[in-house]
Amino acid sequence: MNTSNNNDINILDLPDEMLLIILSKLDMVDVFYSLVNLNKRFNQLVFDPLYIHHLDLTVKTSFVHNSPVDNQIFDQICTKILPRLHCKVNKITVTSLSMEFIFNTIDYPQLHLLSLVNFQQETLLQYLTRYQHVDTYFNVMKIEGRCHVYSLPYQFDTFLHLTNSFRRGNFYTVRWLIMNDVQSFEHEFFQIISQDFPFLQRLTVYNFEPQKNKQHSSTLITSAEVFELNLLFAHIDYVEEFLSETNIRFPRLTILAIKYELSAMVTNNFTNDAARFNLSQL
Amino acid sequence: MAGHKIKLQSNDGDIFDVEVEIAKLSITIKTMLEDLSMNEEEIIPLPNINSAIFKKVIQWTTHHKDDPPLPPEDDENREKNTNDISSWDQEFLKVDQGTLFELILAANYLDIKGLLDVTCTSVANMIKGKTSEEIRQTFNIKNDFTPQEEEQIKKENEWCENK
Repeated sequence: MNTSNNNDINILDLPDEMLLIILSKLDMVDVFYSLVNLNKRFNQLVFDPLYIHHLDLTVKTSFVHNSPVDNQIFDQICTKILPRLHCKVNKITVTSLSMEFIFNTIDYPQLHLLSLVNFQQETLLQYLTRYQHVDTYFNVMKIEGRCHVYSLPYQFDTFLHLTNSFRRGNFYTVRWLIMNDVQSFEHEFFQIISQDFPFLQRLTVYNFEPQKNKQHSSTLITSAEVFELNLLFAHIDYVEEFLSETNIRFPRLTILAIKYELSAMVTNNFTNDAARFNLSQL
Repeated sequence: MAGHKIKLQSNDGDIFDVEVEIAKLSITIKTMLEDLSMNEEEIIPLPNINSAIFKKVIQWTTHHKDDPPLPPEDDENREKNTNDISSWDQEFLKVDQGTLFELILAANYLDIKGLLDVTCTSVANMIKGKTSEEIRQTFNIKNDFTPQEEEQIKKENEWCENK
């Protein structure tokens, strides 16, 4: 049996490296429940920035979900432990069970990455809409689904994997936008993009789906700041959409990545006047 | 070569004849034999391990000599399932705490990842689900916070909660 024997070595005789291996075998919830305020040394290990920078509150082995024990433990973590570490957390991994406890309690000023495990789409939306400073959009594909969650106001200069399910907003800081979807991007959607990303400089489109409506409305889109356009992995419809000045005007376009055959086809061997404006500064 | 043996000496002077293939489950011993070109006739000293613990280590490595190599450590995907100790290992680890901690130190010194994993997992299982007071009793740990430090922790909590 495992019993304590004062004549033998004690757990505290193990070096920190060994204790950290033991901690790594436990869920963080277990560590917080059992080892916080045990003694100075364990507090030093548990509250080390390297250990707590990723707050992983998924429960893999310990408790039965939704049991009263769970709630009691999470409550204790939120009131006694999160206040001591919330400023040092860069990444949080939560399940639908722990989400409410974690975000109703306190802010995380250094949080850069949120991983959500075992969430149903509707449950997630319910949670996220409670938090005014977060927005989200979904991209459901044939074999997988992606959920994109971001803080508002959006502060990054790059926006990745924008799809048709994009919920609108003001993205003044974004300079590089990458769009990809298995559904086609229509002309009206590009109009929304030009309005919501007014200072865009680089645009990349990944989409092999032909446009449904090629009879574009009379609305002419102008992307005043875009100097780089990448259509290497796009259907010919997008080449046509972007090269014709009757659809979109790119007054500053200097870099165009495109398959030569497609551009020759769309511009009728570079004799088409409609493409002259957008290609004039290349 | 199967059956070929080397001599290993514990820190209390006992000499053990151990099959090379079993001894080489210890990366430390493997390195001594291969990189440092130690002669297999030489007695290899193990200054950090006593006879009783080394017997246990040999028992474990003999049983696990044909195990497939463990995957490399990956912080993001580290397996945390602490229940998956085999029944043989569970029996093997029915020892007092001192022996368990000495096995951890020996596994670390000898660099035997499988033994280190299973012994640390065993300690993790002893921790899981216990309150800090129960942990103190189980492992004979003293609360070394001064009253002032406890008051300071309390104040920090209040400051953060009101922030």
